Amino acid sequence: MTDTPSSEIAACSLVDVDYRYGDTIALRCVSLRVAPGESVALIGPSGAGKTTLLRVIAGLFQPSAGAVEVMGRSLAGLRPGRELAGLVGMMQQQLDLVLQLAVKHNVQAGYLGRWGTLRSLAALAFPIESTGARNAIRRVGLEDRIATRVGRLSGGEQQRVALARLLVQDPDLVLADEPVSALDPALADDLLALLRDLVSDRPGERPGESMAPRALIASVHQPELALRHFDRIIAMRSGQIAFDKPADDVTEKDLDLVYSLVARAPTPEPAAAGQ
Amino acid sequence: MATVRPGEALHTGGLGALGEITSSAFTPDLSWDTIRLAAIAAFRTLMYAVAGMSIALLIGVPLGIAASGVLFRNPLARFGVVVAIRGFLAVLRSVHEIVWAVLFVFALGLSPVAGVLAIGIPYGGILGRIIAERITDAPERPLDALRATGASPFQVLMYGQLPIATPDLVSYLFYRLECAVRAAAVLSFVGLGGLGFRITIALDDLNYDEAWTSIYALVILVAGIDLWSAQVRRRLL
Ligand SMILES: Nc1ncnc2c1ncn2[C@@H]1O[C@H](COP(=O)(O)OP(=O)(O)OP(=O)(O)O)[C@@H](O)[C@H]1O
Ligand SMILES: [Mg+2]
Repeated sequence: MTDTPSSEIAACSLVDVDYRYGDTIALRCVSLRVAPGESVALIGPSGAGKTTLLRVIAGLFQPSAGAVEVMGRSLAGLRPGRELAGLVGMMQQQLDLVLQLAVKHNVQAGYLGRWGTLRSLAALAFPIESTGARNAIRRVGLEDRIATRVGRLSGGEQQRVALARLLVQDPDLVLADEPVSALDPALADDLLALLRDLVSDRPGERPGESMAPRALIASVHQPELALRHFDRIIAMRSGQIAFDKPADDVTEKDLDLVYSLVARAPTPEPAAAGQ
Repeated sequence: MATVRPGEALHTGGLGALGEITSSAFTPDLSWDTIRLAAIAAFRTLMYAVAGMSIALLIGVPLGIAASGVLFRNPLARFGVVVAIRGFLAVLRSVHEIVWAVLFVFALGLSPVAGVLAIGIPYGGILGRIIAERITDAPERPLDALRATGASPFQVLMYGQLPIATPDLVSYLFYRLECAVRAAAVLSFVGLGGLGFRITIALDDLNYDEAWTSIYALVILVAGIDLWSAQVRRRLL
């Protein structure tokens, strides 16, 4: 289950993390540990705190209490930007692509933390692509759309662009907030399979380099998809972890409990919290 | 034009002239000479407008980016620079191009440079403000995603705010170019050659047919810019 050799650095570890939005307590006393190479699905009803948890792990939100470490490093001490970008990257619920730019430029933005000013300007001005970006675009199957403006792509294609950008950024810990909520079931299956494969298969950028295996945490609304594609399921409810077990051990009853409407929610949940 | 005094415009001769001017609209002078002169004047007007817009861009792009404040990490430096540059841009555009033209003609004489500067300076102030606004109005979420990849403020500007603002800005630039053409035509009433000048001398000679040739040239010029703009926008959107 969650016990990995304790000598190994955790891809991410949270100890007693709380997060509040003003008076709303969105996370309370959340502790978890994810090992490199693991793939974890976050499930739970709307408003359970999945997005909040991912944003805390990504270093976008400072926890109100508790400690967050990514690859053994405390996020509190990290400069946002370059350093953080190599450790953790996130695909947001809204994709946050620049719709006016071509696929390749959106994907190459994954390099910005490592590129200097001149290099990033040249990549915009000249029709050249870095091999890394071209590979990432090929792996998500968008090779023939490489110069298309992202605003002209379908939702599923945009999802793939966001994924390719994340591959280029190449963080140790990949977070994804509802990467498939906007897709039809068949596409959702494809994309999750792709996400998992891409995360687990991590060729070193320079030959001979050994890279730590990536870890993946993704929030997923449909439990069937979570069970099919992930090793481990963490269920959230009212800001707390309801259960945390290997996907194979999750029963119907577990799911019923998490999603049942007999809410013990401390705050009135808006009908459609989140997006 | 200079001969019209208040009160005179409404007496019988004035009404007669109005009728004559109106009916001449259907009989513009289409002789080769007039058309040639109108075409040259139209080209000249366009060049004033284009040169004026180039100066406006030289002023507006860097100052607009600076005035948006996105390149400054230090809030105090940002505040200082933003306030100073916004103020400067406001001064540039609060003086009308005709007033700038009078000033420059006074300083430089009847030189094309005076006309170009008279358009370029106030338009630079306007563009600077619009560019700053478009940059600060860019949606935060895609910018946050860029920052999360470790991008510097300048990289975020190049990969985020500027491309996001570009389609709107290009539309606006074309609109401004159209305004600049009209302004250039008006400026030639101050004595800088161009379509306005042709219209003035034709009217002074009571040569209404010829005046209409120049007016139609202006209409064609503006319509041409409109067509061009539609084409560019279609490619951008
Ligand atoms: N910006 C905010 N300000 C105040 N409260 C918020 C804010 N964002 C979320 N919340 C509250 O925090 C709680 C957790 O929200 P969160 O977005 O993390 O849920 P979620 O599990 O991602 O939901 P969904 O499945 O609908 O995306 C909810 O009760 C929500 O109303
Ligand atoms: Mg959410």
